[in-house]
Amino acid sequence: MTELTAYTRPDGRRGIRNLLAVVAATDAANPVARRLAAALPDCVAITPLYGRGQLGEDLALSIRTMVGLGSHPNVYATLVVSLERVAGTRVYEGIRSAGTPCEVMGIQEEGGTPALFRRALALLEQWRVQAQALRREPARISDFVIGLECGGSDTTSGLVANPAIGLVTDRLVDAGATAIFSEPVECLGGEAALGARAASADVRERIDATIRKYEEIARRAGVDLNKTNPAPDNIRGGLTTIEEKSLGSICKTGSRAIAGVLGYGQAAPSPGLYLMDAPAPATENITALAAGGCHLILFATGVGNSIGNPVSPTVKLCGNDRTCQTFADHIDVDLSAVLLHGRSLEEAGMQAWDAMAAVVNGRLTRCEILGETETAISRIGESV
Amino acid sequence: MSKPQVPSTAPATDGGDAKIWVVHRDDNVGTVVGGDVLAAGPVPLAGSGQGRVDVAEPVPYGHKVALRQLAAGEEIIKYGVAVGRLSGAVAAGRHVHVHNLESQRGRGDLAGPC
Repeated sequence: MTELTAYTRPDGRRGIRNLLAVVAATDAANPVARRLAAALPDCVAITPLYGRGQLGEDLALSIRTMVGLGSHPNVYATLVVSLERVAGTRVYEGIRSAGTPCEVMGIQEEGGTPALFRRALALLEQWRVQAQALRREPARISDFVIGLECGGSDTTSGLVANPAIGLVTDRLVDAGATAIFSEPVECLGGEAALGARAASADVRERIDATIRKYEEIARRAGVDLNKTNPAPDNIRGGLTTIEEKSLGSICKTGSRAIAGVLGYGQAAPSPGLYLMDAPAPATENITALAAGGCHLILFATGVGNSIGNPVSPTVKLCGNDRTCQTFADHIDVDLSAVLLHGRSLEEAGMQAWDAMAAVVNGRLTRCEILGETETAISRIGESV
Repeated sequence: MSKPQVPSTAPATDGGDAKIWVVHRDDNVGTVVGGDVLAAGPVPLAGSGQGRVDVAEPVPYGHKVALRQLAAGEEIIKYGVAVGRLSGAVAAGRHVHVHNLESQRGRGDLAGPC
């Protein structure tokens, strides 16, 4: 088996990247955050929209997610920027208390964005020097949290890429690692299979309630959920109903016991396999997975999806031979030999595992090389 | 499934690579993979399926084909479980998709008030 290596953070967590992050706590700071990230290597911008006029649980979810991303173990240090310092400070305090080196700057307090940029760049350069002093050290697979995602799905997703990821998931769980799947709306129709794997009756009820919540959203709106999901590209790829999409999607969860249900962006309390409650659209979903501490995301695609997360390297796996050719710039792992040449799913699972290990050890994903990364934090309330 | 048939004059698939992948032995649909089925004709089964099915019409890559005669209102089984219900009867070898298969979940358009 491949030897794994990782960086070690002050609190003992392991990181597979040694990034600097600039978090825009309010959207007015997004442009300067992007300019800063573009100005030096291995620096990523976390630029969600909103951040002002939010309240209650909606505000708490946004702050928790920004803190989760800014204190992510793949990040060496984080600069928080906002229009004024108070909004940035509540994010800064969360990141600092998690042990990640952090500073906060306000556009108003700095006298505008050109002045903020100059002072911020000097700080980021200092951090970069410090970050360079860290070395990769031996790691175990149980040090890691792996996110499971699918997007741009077609019928091959549920025949090849998701089942191959499912075999990886079983190995992760057996080795004492943590795996988190999400997209509960894409569990509709698969409740029986998932419920049977719940670690307890309480977990089973929480799985059911989490999935049911999304059916209730369609019921309250009085609309057919199937007009939204499967999406047009899924339908072009042969997926007809949400049940069919779900049964393919849950193949990535493998076969082991489900230890619990996590809230949006919440970290797992102990090793094992978890369901996270977060909407299915890819950018939004992997934002929640990354905020929950996923070191890396295994992302199955069929017709192709280009997006990844800024702090959690996102590995694209595909079993559709056409997509592997026509969308090759975005595919990390070509699994098309299963359907074309009768390669076994077990071999595809080993191929997926090896690719995951290589990315842990520093191999860049297509998303990282192309800069195809984005953040979208769910809104669960209205702005005022 | 259906017994072998003399191939039609037109090639059934784009280069003959298409096959119909069956996930579970209880499934009543299979998925076209490896190429498009461009014309009616026999196409081999793969995965958990054996033999071939006489596909009755062109079916694109990734889309589903009925493995046997199916009645209106019948559940479509894939992965061994129901993935929807047919809005009309479907003959063996016909394309099964949004024009004849309806979801039974998330149907807020059919539900009464909350």
